[in-house]
Amino acid sequence: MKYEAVIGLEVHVQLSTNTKIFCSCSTRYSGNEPNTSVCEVCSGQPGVLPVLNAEVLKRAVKTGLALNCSIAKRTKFDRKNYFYPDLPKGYQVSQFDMPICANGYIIVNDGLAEGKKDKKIGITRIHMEEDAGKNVHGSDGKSSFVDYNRAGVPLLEIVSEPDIRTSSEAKEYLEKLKTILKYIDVSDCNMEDGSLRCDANVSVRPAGETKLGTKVEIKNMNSFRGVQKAIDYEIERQIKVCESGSKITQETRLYDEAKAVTLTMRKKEEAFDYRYFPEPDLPPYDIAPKDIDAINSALPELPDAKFARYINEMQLSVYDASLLSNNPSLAAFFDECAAGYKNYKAITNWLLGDISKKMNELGIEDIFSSRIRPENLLEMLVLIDNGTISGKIAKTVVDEIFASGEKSSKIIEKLGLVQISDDGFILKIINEVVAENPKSISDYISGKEAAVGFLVGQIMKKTRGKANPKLVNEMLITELAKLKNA
Amino acid sequence: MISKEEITKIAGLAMLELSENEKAEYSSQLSSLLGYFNEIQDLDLAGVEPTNHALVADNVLREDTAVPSLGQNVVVAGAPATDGKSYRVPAIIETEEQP
Repeated sequence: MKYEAVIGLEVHVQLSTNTKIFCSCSTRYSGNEPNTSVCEVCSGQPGVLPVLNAEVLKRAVKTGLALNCSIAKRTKFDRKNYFYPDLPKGYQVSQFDMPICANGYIIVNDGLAEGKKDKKIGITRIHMEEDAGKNVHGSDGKSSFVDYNRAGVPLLEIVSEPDIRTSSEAKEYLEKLKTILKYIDVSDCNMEDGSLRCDANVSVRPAGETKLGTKVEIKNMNSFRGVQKAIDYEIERQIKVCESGSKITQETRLYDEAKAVTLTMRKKEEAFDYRYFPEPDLPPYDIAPKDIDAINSALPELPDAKFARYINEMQLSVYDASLLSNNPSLAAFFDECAAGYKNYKAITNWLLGDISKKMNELGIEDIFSSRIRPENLLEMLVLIDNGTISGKIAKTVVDEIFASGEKSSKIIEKLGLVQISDDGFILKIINEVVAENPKSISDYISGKEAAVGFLVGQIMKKTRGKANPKLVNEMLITELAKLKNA
Repeated sequence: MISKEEITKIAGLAMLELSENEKAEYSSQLSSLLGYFNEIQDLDLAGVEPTNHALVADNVLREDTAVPSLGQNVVVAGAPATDGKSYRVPAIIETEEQP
């Protein structure tokens, strides 16, 4: 029998605000000692009053708008009750029945794969909540140690509809979500350091069946690749269970990255019963339409719109437009260059070619954290256009910009890279090369055109690549013609 | 009337250990408490907005500006057990797995 998987993703993103969600403790505690960014509120002392961080509410609305959600007119917080040492109050302040955003979507498929269609993945809801602390397991096996620095860091939980059918679609969804969140600058979105976390709900059903199968929740994935592999493993495992005639157990499974398998979490004696109830310490919040409008109009151009503009207005290829629009900093760099230089294809070629290669070599993810600036690249492009340097020499200039951050013109002067366009000088070199290569000359005269390429190579070698290649070609052909007709 | 089973479940969720006597006592106390709510249920509340908090002020927000935290020594001073830096709790073995 053919089976189909049904997948929904729950993504938690830490908002990169200065302070925690309900108190003024700093969120920049990374690398600090445990429990140094903790106060009465986030450690859950009796008698304290939480107050919502205005920036959290704003970023939640911003995220909702960027993900095509409707924004609640009125929203409130609820307590989700459970006991765990990393949760100081015995409940997590979250949102239950009145989340800040609902009914959004993300369009997946970057258009790279031939014949693939765009697909809308629904977003059920987005809600605000507080993060928990961190448990560190003691070496004696008897104790664990709890650090509450992370307790109270603002989170958005973004819940997708079960619209995803394959692990690669899940990966595309996550990548697109991350790109959008980076564009709107609400989170660092780093799965490795935990600022983006993902759980997956996976079930299988016979192809064509409309009823949902029993779902299994998978946790503990630490990379997009891990999410994809965990889902693949889980789909295969569930199909095997179904084919053996057994039933899927509804449960939570943990992904074991090293073994690339999912394993049953030790069974809880009693199913979770969170007993949600309204948080009495926080009032409800009304979101004014004018505030939504203000946030909406301040949203940057998002990747789908950028992609369309690159194709329709700038005639970039689908491939180039996709690579650029999926990389917020590279796209910003491109847009800055394109504002002052009309050969968009040339900018794209350098950005996606030599510059990206250089960034990979140096392990730089964000082009703005390197030494190259749009004005460096623009100046270099103009110098290529007016013949001061050749495209080949420009590669050396790029290397040097990355090393020193100096202006292209200064680098060219410093390293003596100016292209030689002096007729007299080039003619002198041509004559030398002609004299040194009688065999090639006779080959040419007897009709072997290929000899020209070899001779050009020799001339470029003598000038260490600095001769204007176009001029060399033209002048060499003129000289050879003279020899032939002599 | 709230049954003893229900009391046992609620106590379990709240991580409370109750004796048989206490279960009986709380069962009658909780039942009378819920009785008050039943009286409210009898009222005609058509058109009345549900109340989910008793505060008068809505939309209370604060600026996203950090202030100094308590300090590690103050934070762990209230811990029943500590290594001087963190709260010490019995080992957590929640992640134990089975194939």
